[in-house]
Amino acid sequence: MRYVVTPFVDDTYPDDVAFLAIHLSDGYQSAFGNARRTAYYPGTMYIPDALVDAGILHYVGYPGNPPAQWTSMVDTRLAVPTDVTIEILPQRLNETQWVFTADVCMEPTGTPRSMGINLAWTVDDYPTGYAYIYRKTLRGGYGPEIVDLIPGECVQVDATFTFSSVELDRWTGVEIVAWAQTPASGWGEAYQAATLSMNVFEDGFESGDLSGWSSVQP
Amino acid sequence: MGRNRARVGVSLLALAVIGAAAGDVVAADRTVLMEYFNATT
Repeated sequence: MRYVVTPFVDDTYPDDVAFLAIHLSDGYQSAFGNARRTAYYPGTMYIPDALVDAGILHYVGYPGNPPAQWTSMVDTRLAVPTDVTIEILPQRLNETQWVFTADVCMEPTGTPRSMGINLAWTVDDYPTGYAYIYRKTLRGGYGPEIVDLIPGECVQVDATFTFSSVELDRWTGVEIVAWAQTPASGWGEAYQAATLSMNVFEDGFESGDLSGWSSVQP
Repeated sequence: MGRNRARVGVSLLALAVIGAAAGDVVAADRTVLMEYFNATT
């Protein structure tokens, strides 16, 4: 099977890359993805087009196999220190709705500034029925919410996401992504990103939904 | 001999203090954001 996105994210950078595949004009686009694309225009309107850390680095075209054109960008950015941390905290509201909180903190040695906080979600191996496997397809998102960060302090940004059968039928492939970037969308810089796989909530234990459990033992 | 041991202990303590101080200024680990614009074919 051919991958339209090679498995490099999982194989090479299992904890270091937050990947959004933003579909355009093919029936799998989203309002959030379209807004991201519009914000980058002019300057990019190509397919495929990979932007790293909100446009700090940019590569048009397929990255090859191995995807050296992409890994070089990722390696370059991983070498750049950051003063921001992000943790994603989930809360289940009901069967289809969750609230995700991005807890964004600045290191004590950081530089105070405003940031745009975004949260989004992707579904892996979706859509299907094509010659290619499509990885981590963006389905929706929230942001940017502009916050002011000062060293040693944190801010929280909440996003409520409503999932459909697309997500519920592929629950282990759902991933939440949060990132902090320059306040305005478009060409800028991402300071930090984070991911949360919903795979860990598959059995309902963490969410408190024990309906799928036959027994609970201490 | 006892004095040498004490010096080694002090040196290790100094290294630990230096390491802890360095840890304070080590930046957070970065996760890179990659946005990949594409379409089904």
